[in-house]
Amino acid sequence: MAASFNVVITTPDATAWEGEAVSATIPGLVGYLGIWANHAPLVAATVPGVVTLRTDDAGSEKRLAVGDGFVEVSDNVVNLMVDTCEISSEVDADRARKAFERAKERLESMTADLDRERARLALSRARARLGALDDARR
Amino acid sequence: MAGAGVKLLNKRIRSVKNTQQITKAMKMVAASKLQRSQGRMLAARPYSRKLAELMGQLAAKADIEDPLFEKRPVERRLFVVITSDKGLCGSYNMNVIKMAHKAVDASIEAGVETSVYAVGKKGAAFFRKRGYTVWQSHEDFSGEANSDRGRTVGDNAVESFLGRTFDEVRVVYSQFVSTMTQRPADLPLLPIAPEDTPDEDTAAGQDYIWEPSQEEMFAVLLPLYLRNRVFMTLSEAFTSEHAARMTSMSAATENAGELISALTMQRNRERQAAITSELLDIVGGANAL
Repeated sequence: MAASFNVVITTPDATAWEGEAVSATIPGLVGYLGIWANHAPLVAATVPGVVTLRTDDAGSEKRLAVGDGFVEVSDNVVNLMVDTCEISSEVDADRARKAFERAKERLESMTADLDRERARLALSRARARLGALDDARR
Repeated sequence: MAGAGVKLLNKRIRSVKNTQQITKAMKMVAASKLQRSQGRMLAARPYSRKLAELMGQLAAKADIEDPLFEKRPVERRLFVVITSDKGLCGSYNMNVIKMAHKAVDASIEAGVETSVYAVGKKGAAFFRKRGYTVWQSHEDFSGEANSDRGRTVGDNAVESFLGRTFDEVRVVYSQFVSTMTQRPADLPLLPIAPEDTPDEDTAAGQDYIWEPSQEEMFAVLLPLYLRNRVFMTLSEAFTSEHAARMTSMSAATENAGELISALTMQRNRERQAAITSELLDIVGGANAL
């Protein structure tokens, strides 16, 4: 098995996921970050999106929809601190789809800057949730 | 005849028993809420510790020049006062309100325009009734803290500070020391005092790659940090509330128990007295024949 590392995903409410992974793909502020074992120490801001964790060599994947936050990598431990985190199996497909449509509509009809910003955030969260769905359920 | 007294006492005993049942139920509910709230408070610690640690590292390295640190002459001050929505929790609200009231009065006396941001019905009602300016209030949190609520309150405070509606924001809330002890506290929230962020000692060590740069990172983390601080404050205050309610309801249940046994004793004595006097009547009557 390829070298693995620890991943801890923490939200303000609880530790959302903890376990080993071979590789992790994390939505960073300046683009997706691919992390493998023995990564150099890193601190990065993250945006709402999908975190993909490969948990073994066979290629089994875990997908999680995350919100705003940041990630810290050091000594083969990835600490991902986000304000929300949903494991793909917990995402309600119908609700996610509806939230996505609603956010899109709202964004199109918004004019005030503040509301636009909120709608934009809601849209990116909804998109993240949809993206985290398993292929079969999409 | 003494029968009327017995009837009256029976009625009182019944009513005290009813009250006791209610206080007992409230104690139980508060106990389970306390447990949940305490668990959540503990669960939130890793996140908040990590965040504080990173903030400390950044503050130590980067030059802090964020508007949230800006110390302005204070002309308008905001007090965030965290109380409960419901009563029956002993002196919990009174302790917080007393401290807040004093601080607000002192602030007004010093010539500062002072407003209150009330979280919780009790605080809102107190300050409204006495004619203070209540800038905003939340009266539907019902003793439950979550990160959304932390974000709402935190963002409101930050917006008002950056928009220069207020030059200083303070929080008055109840710190959770233990189930038996809760201490009211008055802490500054904004501007952030540099000494609030943990010092360099804990921050030494790792040499990170920062993405984006440290300055930008600081700007990203700062709102998160502040929201988290507000969330932790709320969470602590609400845990205190449940603890206070549990303690006071448990005391009330005990008092009711004592009252019941005293009343029962008195009732029995009176009933006995009635029987004795009736017997005396009968015996006296028989002798007369």
